[in-house]
Amino acid sequence: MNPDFLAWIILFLPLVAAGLITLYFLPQRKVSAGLSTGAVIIGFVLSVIFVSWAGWQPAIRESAATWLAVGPLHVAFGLRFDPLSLLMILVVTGVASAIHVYSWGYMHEDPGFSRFFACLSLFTFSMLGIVLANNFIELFIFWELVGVSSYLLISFWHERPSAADAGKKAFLANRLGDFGFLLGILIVWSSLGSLNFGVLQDRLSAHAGALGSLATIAGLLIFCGAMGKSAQFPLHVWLPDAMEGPTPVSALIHAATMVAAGVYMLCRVSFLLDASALEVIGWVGGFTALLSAVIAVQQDDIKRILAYSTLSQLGYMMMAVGLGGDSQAMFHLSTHAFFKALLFLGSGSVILALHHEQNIWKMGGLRRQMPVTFWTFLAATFALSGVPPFSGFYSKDSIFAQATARHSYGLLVLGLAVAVLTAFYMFRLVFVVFLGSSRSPACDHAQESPPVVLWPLRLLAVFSIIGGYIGIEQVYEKQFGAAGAGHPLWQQLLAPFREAPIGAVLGILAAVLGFAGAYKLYSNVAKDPLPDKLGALSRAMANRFYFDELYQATVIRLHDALASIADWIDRWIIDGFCVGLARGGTDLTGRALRLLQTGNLQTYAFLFALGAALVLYLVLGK
Amino acid sequence: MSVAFFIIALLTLLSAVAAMTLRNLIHCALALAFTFAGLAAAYLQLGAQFVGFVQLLVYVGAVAILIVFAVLLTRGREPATQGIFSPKWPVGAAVALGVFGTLAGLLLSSRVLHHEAAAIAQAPVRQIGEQLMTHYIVPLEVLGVLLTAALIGAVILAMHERESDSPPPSKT
Amino acid sequence: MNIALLSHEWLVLLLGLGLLLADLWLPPAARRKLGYVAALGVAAILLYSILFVRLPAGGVEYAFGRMYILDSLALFFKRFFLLAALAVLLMSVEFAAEIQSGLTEYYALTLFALAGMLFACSANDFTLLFVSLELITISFYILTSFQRARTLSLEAGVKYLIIGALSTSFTVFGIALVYGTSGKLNFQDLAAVAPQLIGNKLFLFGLLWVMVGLGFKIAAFPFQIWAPDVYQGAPSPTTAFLAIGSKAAGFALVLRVLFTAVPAITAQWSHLLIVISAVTILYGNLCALPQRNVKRLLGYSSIAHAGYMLLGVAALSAAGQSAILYYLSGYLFTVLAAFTVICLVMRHAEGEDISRLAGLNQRSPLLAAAMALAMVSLAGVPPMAGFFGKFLLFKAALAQGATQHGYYWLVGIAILGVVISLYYYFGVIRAIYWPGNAPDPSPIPVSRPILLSIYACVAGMFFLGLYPNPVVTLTSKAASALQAETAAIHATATLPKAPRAAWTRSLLGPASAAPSRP
Repeated sequence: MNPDFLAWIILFLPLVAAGLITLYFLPQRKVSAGLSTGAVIIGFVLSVIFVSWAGWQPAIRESAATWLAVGPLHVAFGLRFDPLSLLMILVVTGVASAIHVYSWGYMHEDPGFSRFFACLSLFTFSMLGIVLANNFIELFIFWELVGVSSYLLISFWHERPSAADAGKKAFLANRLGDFGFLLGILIVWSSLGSLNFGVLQDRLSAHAGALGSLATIAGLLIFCGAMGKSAQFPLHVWLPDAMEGPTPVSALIHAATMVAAGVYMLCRVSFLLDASALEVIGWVGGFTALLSAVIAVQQDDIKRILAYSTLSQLGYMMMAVGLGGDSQAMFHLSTHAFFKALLFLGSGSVILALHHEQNIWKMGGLRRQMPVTFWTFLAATFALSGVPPFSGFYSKDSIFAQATARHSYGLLVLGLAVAVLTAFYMFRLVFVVFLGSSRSPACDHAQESPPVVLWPLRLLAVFSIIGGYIGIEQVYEKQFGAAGAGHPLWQQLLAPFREAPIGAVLGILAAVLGFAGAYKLYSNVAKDPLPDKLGALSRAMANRFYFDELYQATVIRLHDALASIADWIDRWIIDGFCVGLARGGTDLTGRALRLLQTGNLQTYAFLFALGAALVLYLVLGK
Repeated sequence: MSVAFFIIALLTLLSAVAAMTLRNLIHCALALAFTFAGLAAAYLQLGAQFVGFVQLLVYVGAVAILIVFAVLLTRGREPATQGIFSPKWPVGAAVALGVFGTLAGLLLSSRVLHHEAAAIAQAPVRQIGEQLMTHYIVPLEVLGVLLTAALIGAVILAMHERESDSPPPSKT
Repeated sequence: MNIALLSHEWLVLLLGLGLLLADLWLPPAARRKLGYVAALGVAAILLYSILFVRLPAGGVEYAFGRMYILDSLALFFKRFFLLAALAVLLMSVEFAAEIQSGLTEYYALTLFALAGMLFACSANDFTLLFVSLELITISFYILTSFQRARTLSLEAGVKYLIIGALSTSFTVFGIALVYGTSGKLNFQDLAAVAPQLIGNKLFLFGLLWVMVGLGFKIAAFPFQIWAPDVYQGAPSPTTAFLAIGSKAAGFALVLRVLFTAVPAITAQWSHLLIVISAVTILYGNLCALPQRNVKRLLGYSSIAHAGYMLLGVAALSAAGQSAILYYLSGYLFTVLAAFTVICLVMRHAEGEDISRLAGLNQRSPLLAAAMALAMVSLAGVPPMAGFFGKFLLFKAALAQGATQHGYYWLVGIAILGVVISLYYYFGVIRAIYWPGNAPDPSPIPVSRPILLSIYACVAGMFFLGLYPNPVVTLTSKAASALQAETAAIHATATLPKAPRAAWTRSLLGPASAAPSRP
C-alpha cells in the first residue's frame, strides 16, 4: 500500500478539527480542545509512522492530485516528500503537540477557549501546507493562510487595542513582504514556465542561466517574502509587538514555526538564488541578528526579550542561507524550534504564576517556588547560548563552521559578537528572574504551574538538550548533498571539535564571555545597572533604536500623506466627479430601465417584439 | 394566381378588418370565423388539403365557437360605448406593418421563390397517422403529458376560484 | 427503438402520475408528506441514473428516428435537472402551508416540468424541442400562479402566460421557416445542409426566431422583461426551479441548436452573441442595484448570470461550452441554497423585503451562513463555485480575443458587471449580519431533509470552488459530445436520411408560413 495517503491525513486532520470546532463545538470547551489536540497528536504519531515507513529517501517523491486542468493550463495540488519536508512535519507536529497540551492549561480560564483551539488548528494546517507544498502557488496560498491565522491569534484578545493593533501590524508587514514574494513567483513563472519545485530545479540544472538577468531580482523578491514572514530587517518591527498574543501563540508561531517558514522557504527554493542574492541575504541576516541582540539587552519585558532573541536567531539562519549552508540553517531552525518554544512556554509558566506580570524587574528568586520551570528554562538558556553539549551549540557551531569554510570572516565576526550578546542577555534574564531575591510580593506567593503545563516543558527540554547529536543535521545533508556518513552518538557529541575546531572554540568562548558579563552585572542587583553606564545608548536600545518612531516619522507619515492625497482624490475626483457621474449615469439608466419595467403587460409584449425585431436587424439588416 | 384566389383573399382581408373594427363583439367573432374560413380556402386552393381541413375543423369549428362562448360568458353582450381603439393604435399599426414588411421583403428576397415548385404530393390522413404513431411518437407522447398538465392546471385554477369565495383556510 | 433509453423520462412521468393517483386515496393531512415521496422518488431515479445508466462505446445513442439523443451532454443535464428537482421538492414541502389546495398537483406539475426538461436536453429535432419546451412552459404557467390568494402570484402567472405564448409563437414560426427553407427538422440533417443556406435570409430569419424563443427561456436581453415580475410573484420553490431548471433547459437547447444543428451559421454570429451577452450582463446588474425585494433582486441577478453564461456561448469554443456547464453546476447549488433560505425565512411574510433578513444571524446562524455564502458565490468571490465558473468563462472568451477584439470588450464589461454586482450582493450579506432589530426574533425551525439539502448545497459550492478538476473533466467531456457530433456530420455529409415522405413538404407548401398559435 502506498503510504502517501498518510501525509494527506496528517495535512487535513487539523483543518477538519478547525472546521468542526467552528461549526459545532464552540460552546463545548472540552470537546474543542480535545479535537484540536487530538488532531495534532495523531498527526505527530502518523508523521512518525510515515517517516519510518517511507524513510529518509534523498530521492524526491511527490503525491499530487490534479487541481485544475483546462486546456494547456494544468495546476496540481501536490505534496512533496524529501528529507527537508519530512523532518519539518515532525518538528511542526511535535512542537505543536506540546503547545496544544500546554495551552490546555494556560488558556483554561479564557472565555475564548474553543475559538483559540480552532485558530491553532487552522494555523497548524496552514503551516503543514507550507511544509508539504510542491509548487509555488500552493506554497503561496498556505503562506497567506498562515498570515491570516497568525493575525487571528495575535489579536486573539481583540478587545485590547494593543493586541488588535499588533495583529494589524503583523498582517501588514507580512503583506508587504508577500507582495514582493508574489512578484518573484510571477517572474519565475514567466521565465521558466513552471511553478513546480522539482520541475524548476530540473530546468535550472539543465540551463543554469535560464533566469538570465532576472535571476538576482527574482531571488531578492522571493527573499522579500521570507523577510516579512521571518521578520528580518527592515520588516522586523512586527514580531516584538506580536507578543501581545497569548504566550502559547508566541511559542508556536513566533518561535517555532511561522517565523521559520521564511527560512524554510528559502531552503526549499535555494536552487533559485544566485550568488549576489545570497550575499544580500547573508548580510541582511547578520545585521538583523546583531541589531536585535543589542536591542534585547535592554528590554524589560520577558516576552519581548525572547522575541528579540528570536529575531536574532532567525538572523543567524538567514546568514546561514546566505552562506550557502541550507542544511546548517535548517539544523539551527530545528534545534531553535525546540529550545525557543521551551523558553516561551517557560516564560508563560512564570507569567501565569505571577498573574500576568511580564516585567522582569518585578520578578526574582523564582527558582525556589518554580523548580521545574527554572531547570527547564535554564536548559533552554544553555542551548540558546551555545553551551556544549546542549543542542544550540551544535547548530550554531555548524553555522560558524560554514562561515569559516566560505572564508566569510566578516559574517563570522558578526556571528560571534551576536553569540556573546546572546549569552549575555539570556543569563541576564535568568539571573534577574530566577535567582537573587524576590522583588515583589507576588513572587513570594508564586506557585509552580500545573502538570499539564509542566510536561510539555520537560518534553521540550529533553529535545533541547539532545537535539544536537541525534542526526538532524545528517538528514538535512541528505537533502542538500554532501551527506556525511552516520556516526555513533559519542562521535557526534565531539564532531564540532573534530571538524571545525576554530568555530567551536570561539563559540564556547563567546558564550563564556557573555555569561561572565551577565554574572558581573546582574548577579543580585535590585535594578538594571546598564542605563547608568551606557547612558543614551541604553535608552536607544531600550527604545528599540527608535525603529517604530522612525517608521512612524517616515514611512507612516509618507503613507498618511499619500493616504490623504488619495482621500482627496477619492473624495473630490472619484467620488465627486467619477462616482457622481457614474451614479448619475447609473441612476439615470436605472430610471430609464424602470420606465421600461412598467409592469404593464402590453408594454412588455411590445418590448419583446421590438427586441425580436432588433435581433433580426442586427443579423439581417446589413 | 386565379380569380378565385383574389376573391378569397379579398374576402379574408375584409373580414379581418371587420373583426378589428366592428363595435359588437359577437359580430367581431363571426367576422374572425369568416377570416379563418378564408384561410382554409386559401390552403385548399394551394393543394394543402390536410392543413386546409384542419384549419376548418379546429379554427372555424372549435376556436371560433370558444371565442363566442367567451364573449357571451363575460361582459361582451352590450356593444362598447366608448371608442374601441386604444390611443396607442398607431404603434400597433406600425408594428403590424413592420412585421408584414419584413416578412414580405424576406420572402421576396429569399431563394425559395425561385425554386421550382415541388410536385404536389398527396398526403393521405392515413399516412399522417402512421407517421405520428411511429416517427413522431415521442413528441406525441410529450404533447399528451402537456395536455394533462394543462388540464390539471385549468382544474386547479378554477377550483381555487370557487374556494376564494369561502373564507380562506386558516394557516397552520 | 430502444425504450430503455428514455428510462429517466418514463420514470419521472410514472412518479408524477403515481402521485396524482395516490392523492385520491390519501387523507388530506397526509398529502404534505407526498412531497417527500416525490423527492425520494427523484433521488432514486438520480441514483439509478448514476449507478446504472451507461453510454455505449460510441458515446451516443439515438432513438425514434434520431429524434431523441442520449449522449454525455444529455446525461449531464438529466442528472443536473434531477438534482435541482430534488431540492425544489424538498423546498416545496416546507412551503406547503402557503399552498391552500392542490398540493399534490403542485408536486406532480413540478415533476411534469422536470420531465419536460429531461426531454428537452435530449431533443435532437425541432419537433421534440418544441413540445418539450412547451411542456416546461405550460407546467410553469400553472406553478407560477399556484397561490391564487396572492395577487402577485396571479399577476406573475398571467404575465408569464402571455409573454410565454408570444415567445412560443416566435419559436413555432421560426421552426416553420427553417423547415420551409431547408426541409429538415433533425439537427444532424440540418447541419449537413445549413452551410448551403448561409445566404438564405428566410432561413436565418427562422433560426433567429427560434433563438428568440430560447432567449425567453434563459431570460437574455431583450427577452428578459418578464423575469423580475415572475420571479417575484411566483411561489419560492417555483422561482427556484425557474431560475435553475428552466434556464438550464434553455441553455441545453441553445447549445444543441447553435453547435449541433447550425454550427456553420453560429460561427458568423459571434458579433450578435457578444452584444447580447454584454447588454444582458449590464442590464441585469444595473437593474438589480436599486432592488429591495430579495426575489426580484435574484430575478435581475439571474438575468446577469444568463449574460455571463452567454459569454461561453459567444466564445464559440469547446472551452466556452464546457465553462457554461461548469457555471450552471455552481449556479445550481448557489441558487438552491439562496432560495431555500428565502423560502424558510419568508414563508409567512408578504413581501420579501431585504430588511426581513435582518438579524437572521441570531435567528439561525446556519441559514445566515448559507445565504451569505450563496451571495459570495453569486458575486464570484473565491473560493466559492461562482468564482471558478466565471474564471472559466472569461478564460474561454479571452482565448478567442485574438480573432476578434470584441471579446476583450466583452470580458471587460463582464468584469464591470461583477464589480457592480458586488454592491447588491453584499447589501444582502450586510442585512443578514448587521446588528439590527429583527422583525421577528424567533428562531427558525429547520427540518432534517432541508438541513441536508442546505448542507449539500454549501458543500457543492465549496467543492466546485476548491477542487474544480473532477467537474471540469465531466463538463468538458459533456461539451465534447457537441463537438463530436458536429465533426461526425462534417466527415460524412451523407447521413442515412430519416424516412420522410415528400408529402410533408406539401403540407405547408414550400415556403408558406405555418399558422401560429391561436
